[in-house]
Amino acid sequence: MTPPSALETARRVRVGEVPAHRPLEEALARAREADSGSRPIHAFLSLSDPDRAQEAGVSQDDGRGSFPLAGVPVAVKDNLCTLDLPTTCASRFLEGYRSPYEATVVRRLRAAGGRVGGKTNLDEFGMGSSTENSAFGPTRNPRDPSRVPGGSSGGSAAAVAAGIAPCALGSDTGGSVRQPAALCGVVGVKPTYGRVSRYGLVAFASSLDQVGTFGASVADAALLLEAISGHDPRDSTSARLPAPDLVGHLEDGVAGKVVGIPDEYVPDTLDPEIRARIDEASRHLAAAGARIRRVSLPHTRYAVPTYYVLATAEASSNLARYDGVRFGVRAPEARATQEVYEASRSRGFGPEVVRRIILGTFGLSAGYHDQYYGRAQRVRALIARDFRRVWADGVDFLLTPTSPTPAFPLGERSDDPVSMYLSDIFTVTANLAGIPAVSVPAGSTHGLPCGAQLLSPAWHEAPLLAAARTLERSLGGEQ
Amino acid sequence: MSVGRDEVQRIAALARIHLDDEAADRLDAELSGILAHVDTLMEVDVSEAEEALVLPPPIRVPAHPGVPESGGVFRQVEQEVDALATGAPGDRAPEWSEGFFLVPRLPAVDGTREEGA
Repeated sequence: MTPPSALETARRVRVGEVPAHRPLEEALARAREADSGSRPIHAFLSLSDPDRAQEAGVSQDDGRGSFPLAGVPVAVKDNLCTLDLPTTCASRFLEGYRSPYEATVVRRLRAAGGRVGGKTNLDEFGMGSSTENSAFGPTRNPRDPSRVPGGSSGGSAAAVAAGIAPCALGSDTGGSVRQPAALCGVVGVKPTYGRVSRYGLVAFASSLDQVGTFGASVADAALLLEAISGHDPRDSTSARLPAPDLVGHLEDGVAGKVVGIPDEYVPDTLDPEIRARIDEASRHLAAAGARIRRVSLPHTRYAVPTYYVLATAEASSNLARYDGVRFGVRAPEARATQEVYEASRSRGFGPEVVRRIILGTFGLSAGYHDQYYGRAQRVRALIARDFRRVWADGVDFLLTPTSPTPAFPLGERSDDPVSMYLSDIFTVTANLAGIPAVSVPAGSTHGLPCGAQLLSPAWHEAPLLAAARTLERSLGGEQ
Repeated sequence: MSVGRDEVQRIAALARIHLDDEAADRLDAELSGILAHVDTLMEVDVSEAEEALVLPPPIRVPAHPGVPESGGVFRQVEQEVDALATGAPGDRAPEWSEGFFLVPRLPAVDGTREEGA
């Protein structure tokens, strides 16, 4: 059930071996097949209709010429706006919502010749680490359908892991691309804050959100990231930088690079099997010419509480627009204005979203603002400073586990928010500091996929992905 | 710290979310658990920290030798325009008439108690 890679698909389409529409048709057939058994994967909330996509007036080239994603089917997280398919954020509140415009990243993938395969499942508004918080039912992990795929971009990770699409778009606010990539055994990249336009990404926490990519291989994740990167005047946080050449530098290797392993990410309490996989990864990087060094990022232990104060505060503000008037399904029986807001919001949002809005409102409210939000902002600055000091000390990359555990059984953590939040313990720091990070499959633990995470200074995606490629090759992944 | 049902209800009202007492009690217990974890932030010495981080991170290219930023190209700004600017707005709104988006009437706004339009 392994489809050709995105690179190979695009090559075949460009030379005319395969018609441009064929890979999408095959992907749609695989998506339907994955949902046909007794334990459906449920990676997608909606699938593309190739004819409708044309009607929407989107770029439909013949797949030839220089299009780097010619004919490549791409799974798109359902918090990215598309013209031809609904954009629901896996929320009842936005059921059936159609955006009047397309996200820049979707436009760019279409302009590069790519095809939107469908919209993938997620935790409602991106809030969760298991994709169980979807109003439309959970996604299963293709590697073990009794377990979660991680989250919040669990549908995108599962679509790639199940071989439905070679690459996918997700969004990463605290690890929502990298953690599901690790749990599903695929590659997931969170670029530098500002590298990729967020125009048309439904906002969760605006100082942390970044669009990221999944691939069955580092090359496919890099190909898609290259296609969507670069300045966008429609997003004021988009950096004035050119789209980087990522694919062209994938084989640059790590010779002479310094790889730091932070003590705080391999604590004594870490699962010994995960520790063994990280030790193995560091040996492979050393064999490829890197120097390995132990380092310390002393504020790491405060990252999860910092993240949950800041992300929920921003979410409580961003989600104020869902009130049954500006956005969202309106409670039909409500009469007065306040009733419309309260009844629509209480009915529209699922329990985790309500929990986070209340927590965020609490942290911003009079009497608590300085104690929680103000303090968390300062701790965030200290977490970012830890990274800057390590880079200034000559370290090129950091190597860590992506997740403290492999994929857990469906339902195991649903009633324990703090335990669920701690799934993000190794990933939230990159969002807090605004730096890029990638999760690469690093073998298995307890019979389930395990991810190794590499982090680098801001804007260093090209050498970061070359390091990820080195790891992938030495660990026996994509040749 | 414990938040308490009344405080949860006050916060929920600020957030325009209606909670019954059972939901407020459940959220009180959950928030208290989360805040116990968040309270570890109180032990951090933040005296040296600037209040806010600069985002996007400052661009220093090449910050390290060998960072291959130079090979890239700026994409042309897309010439496509949004469907909002070109297509008929009525195609993308629930109701549209004579140049206006129609929305349900809110009695509290116009002062009547009639059924909404």
